[in-house]
Amino acid sequence: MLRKYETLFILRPDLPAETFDRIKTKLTESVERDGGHTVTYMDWGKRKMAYPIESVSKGNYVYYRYLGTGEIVKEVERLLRMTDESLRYMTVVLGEGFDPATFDFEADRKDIYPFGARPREDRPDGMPGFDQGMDDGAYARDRYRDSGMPDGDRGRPAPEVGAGEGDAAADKMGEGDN
Amino acid sequence: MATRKKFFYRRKVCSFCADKNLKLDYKDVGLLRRFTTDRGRMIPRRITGCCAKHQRALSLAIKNARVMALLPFVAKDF
Repeated sequence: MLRKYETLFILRPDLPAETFDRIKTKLTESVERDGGHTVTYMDWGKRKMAYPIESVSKGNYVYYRYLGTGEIVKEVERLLRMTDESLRYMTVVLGEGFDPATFDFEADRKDIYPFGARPREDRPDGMPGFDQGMDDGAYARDRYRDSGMPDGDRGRPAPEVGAGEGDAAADKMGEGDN
Repeated sequence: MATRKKFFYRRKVCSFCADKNLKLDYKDVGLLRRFTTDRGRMIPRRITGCCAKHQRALSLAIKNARVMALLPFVAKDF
C-alpha cells in the first residue's frame, strides 16, 4: 500500500529545455527505482512570485504527483535540495492506502489545474458561496476595512461609509482617541 | 454614544460548508486571495463567516501558499 504525494517545486525561470528534462528524468527515475509510481509530472509554467527568492522574481512551477512511501519522498526532496536550479519545494500527502495495481492513474490525472484555475462552468449553478460573477472576497475585504478594527496594515485612505453605518463607526473611533 | 441603530445583518455561511464542491487547496491562488486582504493578511473569520474547522484549514493553506511564493507574506505595493 502506498501513499499519494504531490511535490510542487520552483525552478529558475530561464532554464534550457535540456536542464528541464534532466530534472524530470532524475526525479521520475528515482521514484520508480524505489518502487513508486508517477501519476503526473506537469510543467505549470512561469509565474511571477509573490516575493523574490534568491533575487529571482519569476519562477517556473513544476507539479509532480506520485505514489510512494516516506523514503521516496525523502529522496525526491534530497534531489531537489541538491539541484541548484530549484528554488523551493513542498510535498503534501494527498491520501493513503493506494494499491498501484488497482489505482486508476488516468482518472487521477484528470482534475489537476495549475494554481487552481479550474474552468468556471465546473461550479454548479445556484450554489451559494463563490458563484459566477460574485466575489465574496471583495465583500469581506470591504467589511474588514470598514470594521474600524485596529490594523496597522491599512495603507489607504478611509473608505466612504454608508449613511447609517457611518455615524456609529465615527463615534467608535472618536472614543478611542480620547 | 448615539442611539444604537438596528441593523439587518446578512447571515453569513461558511463558504466551504455551503459549497461541498469547493475544495480547499494551497495551490488555488484565486480562492485564497478571497480570504486575504490586499496587503496579504488573512481576513478574520468573523468577517468571512467561515466555520472554525474550515478557517483552520484555510489558515494552513494560506501559510503553505506563502512558503511557495504564491501569496505574499507582506505586500508592500498593490
